[in-house]
Amino acid sequence: MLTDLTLHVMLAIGRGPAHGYAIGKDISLRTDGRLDPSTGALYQALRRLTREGLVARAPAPAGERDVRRKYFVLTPAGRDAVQAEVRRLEAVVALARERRLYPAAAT
Amino acid sequence: MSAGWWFARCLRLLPASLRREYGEDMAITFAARLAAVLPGRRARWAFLARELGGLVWLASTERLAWRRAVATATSDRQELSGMEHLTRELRHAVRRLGSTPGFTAAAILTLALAIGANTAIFALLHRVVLSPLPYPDAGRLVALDHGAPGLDVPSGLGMTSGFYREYGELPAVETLALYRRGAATLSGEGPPERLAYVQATPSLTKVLRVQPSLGRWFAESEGAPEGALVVVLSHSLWVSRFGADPGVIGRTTRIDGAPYEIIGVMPESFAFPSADGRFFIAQKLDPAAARPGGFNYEGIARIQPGVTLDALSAQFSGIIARLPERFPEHAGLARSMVDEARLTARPIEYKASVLRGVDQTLWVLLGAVAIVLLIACANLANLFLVRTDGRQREVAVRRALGAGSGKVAGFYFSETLVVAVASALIGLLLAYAAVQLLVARAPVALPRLHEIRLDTVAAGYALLLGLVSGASFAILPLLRRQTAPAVLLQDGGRGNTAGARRMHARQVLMGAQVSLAVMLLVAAALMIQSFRAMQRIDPGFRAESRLVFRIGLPENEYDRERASAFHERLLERLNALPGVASAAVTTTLPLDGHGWGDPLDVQGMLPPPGVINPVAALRRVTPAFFATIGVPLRQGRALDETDMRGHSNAAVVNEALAAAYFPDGQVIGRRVRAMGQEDGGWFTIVGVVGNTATHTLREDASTPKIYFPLRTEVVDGTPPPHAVSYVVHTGGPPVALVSAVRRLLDELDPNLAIARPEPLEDMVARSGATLAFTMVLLVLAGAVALLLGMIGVYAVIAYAVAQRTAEIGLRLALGARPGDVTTMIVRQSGAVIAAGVLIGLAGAAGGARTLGGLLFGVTPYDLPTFVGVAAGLFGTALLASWLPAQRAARQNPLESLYTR
Repeated sequence: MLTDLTLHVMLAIGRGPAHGYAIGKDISLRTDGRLDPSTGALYQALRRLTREGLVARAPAPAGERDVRRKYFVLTPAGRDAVQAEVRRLEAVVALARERRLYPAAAT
Repeated sequence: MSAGWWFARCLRLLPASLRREYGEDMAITFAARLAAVLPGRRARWAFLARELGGLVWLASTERLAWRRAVATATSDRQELSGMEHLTRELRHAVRRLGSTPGFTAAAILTLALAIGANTAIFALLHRVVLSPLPYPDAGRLVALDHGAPGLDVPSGLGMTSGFYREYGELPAVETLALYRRGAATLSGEGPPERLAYVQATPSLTKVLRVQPSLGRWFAESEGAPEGALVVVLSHSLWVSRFGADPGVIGRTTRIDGAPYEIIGVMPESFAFPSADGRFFIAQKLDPAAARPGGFNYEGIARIQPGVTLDALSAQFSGIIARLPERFPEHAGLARSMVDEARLTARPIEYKASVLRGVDQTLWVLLGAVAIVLLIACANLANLFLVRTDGRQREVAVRRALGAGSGKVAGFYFSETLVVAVASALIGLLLAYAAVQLLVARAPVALPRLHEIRLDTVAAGYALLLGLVSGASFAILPLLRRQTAPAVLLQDGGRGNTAGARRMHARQVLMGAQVSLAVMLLVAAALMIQSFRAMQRIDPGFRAESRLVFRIGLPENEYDRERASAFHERLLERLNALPGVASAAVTTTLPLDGHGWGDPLDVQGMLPPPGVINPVAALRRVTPAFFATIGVPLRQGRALDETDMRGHSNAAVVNEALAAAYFPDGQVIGRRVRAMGQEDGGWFTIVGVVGNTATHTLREDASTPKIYFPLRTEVVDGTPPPHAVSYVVHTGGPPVALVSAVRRLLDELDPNLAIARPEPLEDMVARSGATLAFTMVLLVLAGAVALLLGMIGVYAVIAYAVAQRTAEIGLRLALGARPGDVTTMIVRQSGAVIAAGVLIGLAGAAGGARTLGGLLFGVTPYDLPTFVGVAAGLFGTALLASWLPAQRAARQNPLESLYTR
């Protein structure tokens, strides 16, 4: 099971190689500011994910001028982990609907 | 400093591995986010606060996780845990220190001595002054005292049975007790011993809230006049005389010949009012016979919570004002106590009465040893500065290889930590030895001596001192701006500004050492002068080659006739001993206190109403007393055998009495008697003798004294006392006589014992002991301060000169004379030393006031002392800087230019 923040970090990286600043900004935007991790928290999450092999460092894209910037990508294991987590959330949502604790899908 | 700069600093909180991996990236991200923060101060601060919180959280969680990982898993990482890092650093420090044994020994010894002295004095202060007395809720104990300003006795009168009865009824007083100290001969099992005892009302244990460890304390009934004769033993007497036998309860022992039943044994820690009381007997009082006068007791009370001493005094004063109504049967006396003597209650905190001002001495000594520690720290700081200069290249290499400033700090701290802890441990041993020696030899009658020991608080104090002083001289090398490794690693690496800065720091240290040494030396010099003034005092008698001892005759076996016959026989035999020049008896020895005293009536001279004549100390002596103890006869004649046999009413007075009573100089032939002894006859003054010290050597004025023949019956309405003091003038060492005296006594009456046999010189020495003790310790501290201070000056100048070898060589090569070079160096250091001396004088003037009460015969601001110390220290310090300057000036200029 992933924490809220790590899941969002991985979702942010899902679009392709991303730098720490971009990851933080993405999370903040997509959660409407509900999640706005401090730099420390952000890198703690990145470090954990890297250590667990879910995220890996990537070469900077061609357009990057600041060579000191580090870029991160999802590893295959990371993709699996996101899928598993989202599947788990789906199951939770389905269960909540069945128990009428959550509105049915609009479709 | 920008926020980014601060963020980079804060990143150091993180574990090194994390910092290396992401630190830079985090700083970039931070900068980018900072730029994107909404405008406005509040948003910015909120952002910064959140960022800082995140970092702290990250640092603490990561460090914890990391330690756990190290502990559980591997040692194959190149990262070491904090603990491992520390032990490795310490191991290296020990090795480095071991390679310079001279430096290490000097550093540890200096600091250990200073810490030892501080810990020993602190242990005294902690146990004697700061710790509460060993009674529950001791803050509510009050010593009851009275003064009579009308009789020129401001305090120290003590208590009477009448005040005991009256004060006991006050709401502010919970309970109170009367007691007095005495000495009696204990006989029965074992040889007779003359021992100090305490006679107290049964209420004493209620006041103190203590209980015997064995048996029981006195019942109320045993404090009544017809109560049974019972005794409670002190723990020490129980052990020494009764072999700690629990079956001692119920047995009978004889005190001054009378049978007493042993009913209890006090706990070992019980030492009331001091540790010398060996047993306790009940003070028998008849409430109906309570008198307002007769200040023969000491008093102690436990007051109700929340009652202040002022409130207590006010309540006591109310009672004193109503004294005549409260004691109608003694109305006359009560009226004169109130109107003429102006009797005043003087309750003081019981602890203060126990300490007798010794707290001031201890605080002064603590200040002195603290100064020594400061000087020692300054010296060590200096030594370590020099040492770190030698290490700069090593540190530069470490930094060039990637050691952060934390590691470099660790490098410096580890050495000082080792030195500090080693010094604290050795200092603790030294303090332990000092405290043991002090308790065993007790140069001063320190109160609560039996409670003094080196406890964990004192040990903690030693360790704290070690760590604080260690930190103080470790920080100095770190404070300066760090020179870039590249500069240092260049060949030679000299001539940078950091060197000049450090020189500045050294000069400040040197000036501080000089100031501190001046302060301590002024104090020591003032104490030496006080001591010499004390020694110059003429006590009024000759103490050398005199043995004194006391003998008490049991009242029920010796009536007046037998007692005087006994003294006569003993004197006769003492005089027959080989080497004895003369022997005499007195009721009270000089320096043994005031004894009985009364104002005198002079025949034909009535004092004006409302005026009471000065109190004269009443003494009884045998004829040879003045010759034996060396009191000079000034006028008339001394007492003789005829007077002794009771055939005349002759008396001798001292010069103070003659001056106070007979300002016209007509003394011989005047007739006097103790005030109120209307039915007794008049005494004729036949001679005037010199004054003698009464309580201590440092008395402002001599006490008027009158001497009667020993047998005189009516002096002040009391019979001759049963305990008297003997003085024996001998040709040899006084103590050699003691066994002969014991033998004589054994022949006369085997049930008697002598008490406190000692050379009279010891009594005199004891009188000045506090001053001598303070002086010796202050002089020791001053000498150490002087030595360390001069070593400090020498070291600083020697180092400065060494740094300037090339410059000096150049000057010499260009034609400067060696004398010019020496003068230049000495003049530069002279300015620093002069500043140090001036600051030290100012400090000494500020601190001298605290010495005030300890000084004698010299004012705290004695100008010659200040000037003398300043000049002496300035000269010595100049000499200490001249020596290395001298050496530098004699160098071969070519050599010094080449070696650099």
